[in-house]
Amino acid sequence: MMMVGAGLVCRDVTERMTDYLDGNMGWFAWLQFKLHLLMCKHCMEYLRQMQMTRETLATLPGSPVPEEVRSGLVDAFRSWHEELGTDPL
Amino acid sequence: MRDSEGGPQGDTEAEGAGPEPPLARPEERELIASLLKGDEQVFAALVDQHHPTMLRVARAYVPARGVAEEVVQETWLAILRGLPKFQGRSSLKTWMFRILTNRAKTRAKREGRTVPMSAMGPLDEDGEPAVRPDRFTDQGHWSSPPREWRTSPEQLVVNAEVREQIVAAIATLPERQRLVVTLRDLKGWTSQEVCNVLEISHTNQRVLLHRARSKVRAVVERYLDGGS
Repeated sequence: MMMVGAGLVCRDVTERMTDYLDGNMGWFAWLQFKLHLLMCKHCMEYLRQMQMTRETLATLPGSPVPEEVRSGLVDAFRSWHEELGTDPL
Repeated sequence: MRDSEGGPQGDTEAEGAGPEPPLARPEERELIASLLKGDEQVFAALVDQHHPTMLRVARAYVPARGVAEEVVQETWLAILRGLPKFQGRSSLKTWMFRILTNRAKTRAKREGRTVPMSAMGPLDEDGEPAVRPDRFTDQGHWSSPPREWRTSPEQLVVNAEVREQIVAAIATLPERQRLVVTLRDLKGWTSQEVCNVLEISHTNQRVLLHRARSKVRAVVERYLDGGS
């Protein structure tokens, strides 16, 4: 006998959305969640919005490394490698 | 301060032939072999990939930007020094960031800051639920449901103004939420990696991530609705 979405209201669903998206739910909670979504277009839309938000976040570019910092580190790398050649390991 | 994964120093001699870390994944072995051969392009790519993130993580421990930059510089040197001995027991990234957090914590103590991430204030800083409570009835059903975003995921992702809004939203997040959402959703770290490096529990991490994502969604919603 299935407890169709029993006890799970929309407010709960919005609070647990990250757990759902990240696969962090026990199977019964997941089932209840899924059933609620099937019956509730508002929460389904909310899920869609959270998914799209997450997808967009994933495409944001990283901060660039300032050129002086980058070349400074590459210089340090070069020195390190030169010393490596002369060090008995 | 030990920079290798730990274990007796004798490990280096006992395991593996040649410079490749015996326990590392194939793609990491190649990367490390290239570094040990002095491949500057590979190293520069590694810097591009991790340096900004290292700076963000460092600033969680030592907020002053100049100090955090010093810590990260020192970390790179320590990474290079430790690289010949790296066994591959953990991923390279985890190992690198462990070196970073060790140094950041040491530096934080020297600067008189001893607050670890896990102790930094209440879990969600502002106590806000994911959605404003007045959008639900007392019974918890939507009274003010989300209006449909009349855009496809593909369109949204390339919408320059939305992206700007999101970047701005992230900048205004409380510090820990900003850090967690950056690592998880921008840099693609797993929750385990985030918990390991930031030394927070899974529960903490989930709450911070949830708050951050919810806030960003709310910003996009406000923008798409044309200001509510």
